[in-house]
Amino acid sequence: MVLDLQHAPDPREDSLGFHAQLFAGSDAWLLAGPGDPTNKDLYFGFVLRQLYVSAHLEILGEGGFDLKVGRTPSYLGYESYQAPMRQLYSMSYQWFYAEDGCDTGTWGTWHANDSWDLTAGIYLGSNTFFELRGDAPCAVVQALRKRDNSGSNYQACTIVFGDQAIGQGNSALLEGKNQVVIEYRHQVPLSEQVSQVLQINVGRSDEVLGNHHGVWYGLLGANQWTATDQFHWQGRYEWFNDNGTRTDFDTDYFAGTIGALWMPRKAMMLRPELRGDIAGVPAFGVLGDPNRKRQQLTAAVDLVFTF
Amino acid sequence: MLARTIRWTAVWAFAVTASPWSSADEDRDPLDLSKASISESNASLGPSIKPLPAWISGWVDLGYTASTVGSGRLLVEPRPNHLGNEFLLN
Repeated sequence: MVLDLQHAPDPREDSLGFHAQLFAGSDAWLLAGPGDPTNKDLYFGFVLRQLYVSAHLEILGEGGFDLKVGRTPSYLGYESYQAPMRQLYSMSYQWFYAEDGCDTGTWGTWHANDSWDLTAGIYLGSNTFFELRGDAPCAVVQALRKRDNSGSNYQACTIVFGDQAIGQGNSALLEGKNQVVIEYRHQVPLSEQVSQVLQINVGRSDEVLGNHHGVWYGLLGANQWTATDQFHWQGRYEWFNDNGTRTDFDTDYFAGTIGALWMPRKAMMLRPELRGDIAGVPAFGVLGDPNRKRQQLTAAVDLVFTF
Repeated sequence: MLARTIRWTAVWAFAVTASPWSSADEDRDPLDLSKASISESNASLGPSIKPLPAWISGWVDLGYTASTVGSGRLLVEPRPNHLGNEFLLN
């Protein structure tokens, strides 16, 4: 369950805003990071996933400059942890193993012109709530080129670097020094009915899992076909390579997901999906069961109510 | 456990959809892949946030994941639905 309170700054004049988001449930348990309340009940966590103040300043040209201070979501990745704002119920390997979560820090975005937004920020390590993770703060820079004003036609290149800069909450991801991730995201509409996003993520790390050198890279793509205003077909496909420092298995992963998004009411949506995962080694199974498999098939459905 | 979860979720779902102050945010339409596909920190990309005044919103998410590898905490993927053959409430 999520309760969201916000007041956005007006992009047409000097103004202030804020955003506070209470996040509860199993996702909140999974995504809790340093500084967040923790408990042993994996069905229920409770965190302040976003808590920041923001400002829009009419400086440095007509587009102005935006500033955020506090805890905000990552600049990496097209997928959102927020249920109503994502394509499918499940998420990609990149999202969980190669991106950061909601970080505490400060970020500035210069709207250089109608096409280009340039962002730079510094934060206290991946997915923390006002607590330093690692030996030093991390940094992010992003160049984003909008091809039009639709919000679905753009290219973005993002670089994140620092100690413990990457990871969503898995214990194996809590380590790592001198981490660097470079991500390129390309979202273009293929037609009026078909959207597509492609995302490349490459990362490395020192001193992860003892004294191991971590390397990972992957290619992720997703398409959406809009059948009607209420019904969309969804597809996602991914290849992810890990040398054993992100997922605990030194192997390649391939995943394909097909699904649908149906919104019978404005405040309600249903998302069924069928997903297949294949790995080069027996990586799939359940915790505590030594019986592992190289393939995994999941069928999932979720129901979202918004208010 | 399952019956209690379903019952509790149904109460929540009814409360949030039938409440007089329920107002799904038009600018946050989850059907729009342009919103679902862009890092939500990139507020510059579109009107995903309203200007004035402050407002309260939220959501409830209930899901079930069936898995061929068994029941319990799934290794590696999928995420965030990380429990096989179980309901989750978010």
